[in-house]
Amino acid sequence: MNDAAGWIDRRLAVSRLAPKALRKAFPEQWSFLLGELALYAFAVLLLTGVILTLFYDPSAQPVIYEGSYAPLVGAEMSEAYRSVLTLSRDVQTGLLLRQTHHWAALVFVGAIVAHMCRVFFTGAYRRPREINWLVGIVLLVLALINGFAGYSLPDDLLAGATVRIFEATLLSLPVIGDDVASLVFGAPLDRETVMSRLFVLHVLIVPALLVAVISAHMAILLRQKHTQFGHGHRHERNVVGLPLWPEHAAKSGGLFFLVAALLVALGGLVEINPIWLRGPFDGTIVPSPIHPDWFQLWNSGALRLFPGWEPTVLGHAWPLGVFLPGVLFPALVIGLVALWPFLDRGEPGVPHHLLQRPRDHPRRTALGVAGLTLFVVLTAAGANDVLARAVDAPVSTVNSTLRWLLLIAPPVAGAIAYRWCRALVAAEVRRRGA
Amino acid sequence: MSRLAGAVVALLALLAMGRVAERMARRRGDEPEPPIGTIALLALASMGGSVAFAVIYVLGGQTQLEAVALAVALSGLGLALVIFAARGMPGELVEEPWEPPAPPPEEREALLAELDRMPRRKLIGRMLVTAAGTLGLAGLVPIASLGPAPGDRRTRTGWRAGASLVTGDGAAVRTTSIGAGEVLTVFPEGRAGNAQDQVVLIDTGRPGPQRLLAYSRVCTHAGCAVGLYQEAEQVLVCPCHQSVFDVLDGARPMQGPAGRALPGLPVEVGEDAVLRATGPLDAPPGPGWWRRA
Repeated sequence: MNDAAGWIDRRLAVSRLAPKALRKAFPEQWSFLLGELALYAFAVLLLTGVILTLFYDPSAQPVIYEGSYAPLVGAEMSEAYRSVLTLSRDVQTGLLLRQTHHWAALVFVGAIVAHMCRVFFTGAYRRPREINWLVGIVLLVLALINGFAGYSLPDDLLAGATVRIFEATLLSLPVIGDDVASLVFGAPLDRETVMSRLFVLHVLIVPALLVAVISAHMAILLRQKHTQFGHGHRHERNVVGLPLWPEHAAKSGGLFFLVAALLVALGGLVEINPIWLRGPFDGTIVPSPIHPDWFQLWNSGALRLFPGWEPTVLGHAWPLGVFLPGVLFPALVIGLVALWPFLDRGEPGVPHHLLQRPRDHPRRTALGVAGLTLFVVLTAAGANDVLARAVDAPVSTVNSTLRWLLLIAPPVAGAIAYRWCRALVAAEVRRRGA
Repeated sequence: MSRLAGAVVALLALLAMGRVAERMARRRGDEPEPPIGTIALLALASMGGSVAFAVIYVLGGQTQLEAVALAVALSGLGLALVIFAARGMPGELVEEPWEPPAPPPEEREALLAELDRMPRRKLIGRMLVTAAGTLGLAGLVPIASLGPAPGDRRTRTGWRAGASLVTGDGAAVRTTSIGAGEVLTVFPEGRAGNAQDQVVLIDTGRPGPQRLLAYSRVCTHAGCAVGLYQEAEQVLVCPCHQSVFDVLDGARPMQGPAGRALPGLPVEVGEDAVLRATGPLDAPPGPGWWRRA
């Protein structure tokens, strides 16, 4: 290793900068690894994704299937669907590859959300880290977009329905909806163009953006240094932690392999998106129950719960029943979350490097808990047909209950969180005083 | 649902692993003696997993076994690294001062002085910026090439007076093709399978003009195919967001997020008991958009 380092140094003269970089402090706390979890899930996505691209055919051209899966022999399907079907059933390790990729996507978004929660509840977004919070929101949006584009690629029944709903969402934009939908889809009701566009988006545009923005995210993090909890001799003027080399590098490298191991295990042992059971896209069939991947259930839930409303505005019919839950609501939510560091600045003009315990800021914690509760209720609403079947009740009852929950659950949960924080702090004070 | 459970388990497992890695890494002391035996064992297990994976592949492959073998190979390596990090490295904490992210005033003034070397010419600056902006806007105009103007493509269907009803296979639909309480997906002749034109023909079993009813099958909410018919309540249900349409009342939405009734198709029994339309759909099918009311 030393020979290699010498070889590089004689050509790039890094030895002046290297020792400082190698001794960079990484504060230790298990929740700080959530960001790395997302990063390594993304690495697995890239690796598996590149290989998948070699097998996938992004064409909506119809073909008759004549492969090894008997129930679909003779059925008409798009070339895209056939390529994914063949990969899943006739290519060795093909199914493992595909399912690992899909699981990695679910874990990727989950890790981002968990990481965001950690940053939120510990106040790590305060100055000087507002920029990185915004960069992180961009990453979340990119991940969501790519998740949607990704599961639309196999062109099965579920994917087709989702693309249709996406078109309806675009249509609901005021004044320009019809034109925007036509631009995005290449033509109204045309599937060929939109399939190849989703492919380019999913494989080229968004991954390139993700790599660039993740690099920016990490560069800013390295420049500003990681936050830490204040205990022992840690304070606002120093960073204390394990050095990058060798401890953190080895630990982080190990974490990558463990994440990859878990994703591969899930990919091989837990079935996901069995497209052959649902069959190829057919505009006249929609399966029931139907719902998107977990991170879009809240969108579907909002669409399901919002009442049908298509008023006439300025002489034009405007489908607000789709626009409000499908466009305006997500935009407001993401906008509010993105601007949060400017709404909760903490002490003005002073940089904050120490993290705060959630219990020491009960109002912020309560607000965060309320927001998460809203998200959970909407996510449950996205599967209201499954719920209705599970509790053997009509969907209308489930919907009414969920609508009430939407109003009541977040403030109640927030209030409980608030009281709990205060109680924890009070107990500590008592223990110290006693 | 099991996918949701799987995802939750995955996330919890990963968090647990992170915690374990963390706790193991929180060690102090000088260069300790790493547990060579354990690490060697893990490395060997990893090698075994890798070889097993290759062997299973060569022997024909099996998804679950390959997954387990590969997972063993990866996690063996991962655990070996983590344990090495936790118990085989000094583990001394380092301390770095925060550099003030805001540089000292002299540096900032030097920077501003450098920036000031750009000559301040308002007119030139404004002209250049305006030219660049205009170029940018002009460059956006070809976005219109991405798709044609929609025109009447959303409102136009194959349904018109005299169009015969056919099934998805192109076979003519007669009064004998459908019984009481049954539904059939039909299309205009010559456009069998066209998703925009799809219509649901319902035999409600009621006598008189309300026996055979036909409505567009494209949900007016978000465009999914309204495929579920409940005979007892005489309603059509869309599976995507559970809009419910009253079949006997012009497919008016009773429940759910749809805001408009499903467009109706007037049908009559023609010669040879073949069903045919007597006019187009009474509204454009599918989801709404900003259009003249």
